[in-house]
Amino acid sequence: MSSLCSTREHSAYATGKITYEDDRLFRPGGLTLTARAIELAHLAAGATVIDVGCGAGQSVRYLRTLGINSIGVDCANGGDSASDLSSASHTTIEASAEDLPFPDNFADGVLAECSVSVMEKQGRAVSEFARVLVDGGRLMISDLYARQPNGIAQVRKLKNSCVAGTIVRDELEASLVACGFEVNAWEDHSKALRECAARFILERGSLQGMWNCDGEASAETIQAAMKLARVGYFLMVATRNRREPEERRLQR
Amino acid sequence: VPLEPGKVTASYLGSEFPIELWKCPGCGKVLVPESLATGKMLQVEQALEDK
Repeated sequence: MSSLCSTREHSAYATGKITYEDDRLFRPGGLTLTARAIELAHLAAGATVIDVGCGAGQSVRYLRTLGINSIGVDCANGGDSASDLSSASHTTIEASAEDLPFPDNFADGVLAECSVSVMEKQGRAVSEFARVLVDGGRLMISDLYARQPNGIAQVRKLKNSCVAGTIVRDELEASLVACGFEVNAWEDHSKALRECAARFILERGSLQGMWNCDGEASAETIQAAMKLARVGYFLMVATRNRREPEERRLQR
Repeated sequence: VPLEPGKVTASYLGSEFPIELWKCPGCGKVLVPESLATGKMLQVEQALEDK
């Protein structure tokens, strides 16, 4: 679970709606899904991976156990400043996904777990992912998506709810292609989202509070909108291709 | 035999959840109060259904 946002004030962590201890409750698939992302991306020890929207940093720590040089970025983690980038000891940096404090061609992988959907400018963030990735670098996104895109309008009306930014697959893929990505894998993990909701109910008594970070809509209203769009969860891996495809060069 | 609180694992639709319930230390049977069965467990069932 991330707290990515354009401003610190909008972060669910910064407003106290979510505490870092709650992180496991908001993490569909847990580290199993993180491991699957790394497997699909063929990333190994020695690779540099930026975890955008790292929240409490659970994935950052997990990736380090694999020998991956992981750096977490979050807008409200109280992490190091960008000027500490050269330090080998830093693990998290406080910054916005839409303005990543890394040079071009910096990372072998970018991981965004349940964070793209809470970004105000998703297109701008995708463009930043493309900029910081090396040629052949891998983008790994797991997030909420509409399995019934015809119902997305109701979900997007839920202003300030965590689910308002639910992704539509076609839109995301078009945005990725426009930024030079090739989508390699797309897996449905909606069961993990349902289990996450069930765990939340068992611990908190109801779904109230799970989806409405800063919003005013009731859990029932949010659930009804999510049902219309059949909101599920996906894992996607894409490759950043900086080289122009050969067929396009030949067409000139 | 007095019941004791303990961690049990509830299974439903292929998913498992740890939950604290009263259980018998002798036979291991678990007491599921009606309020839990018709309250939280019902909500969990609905959350797990994929319609």
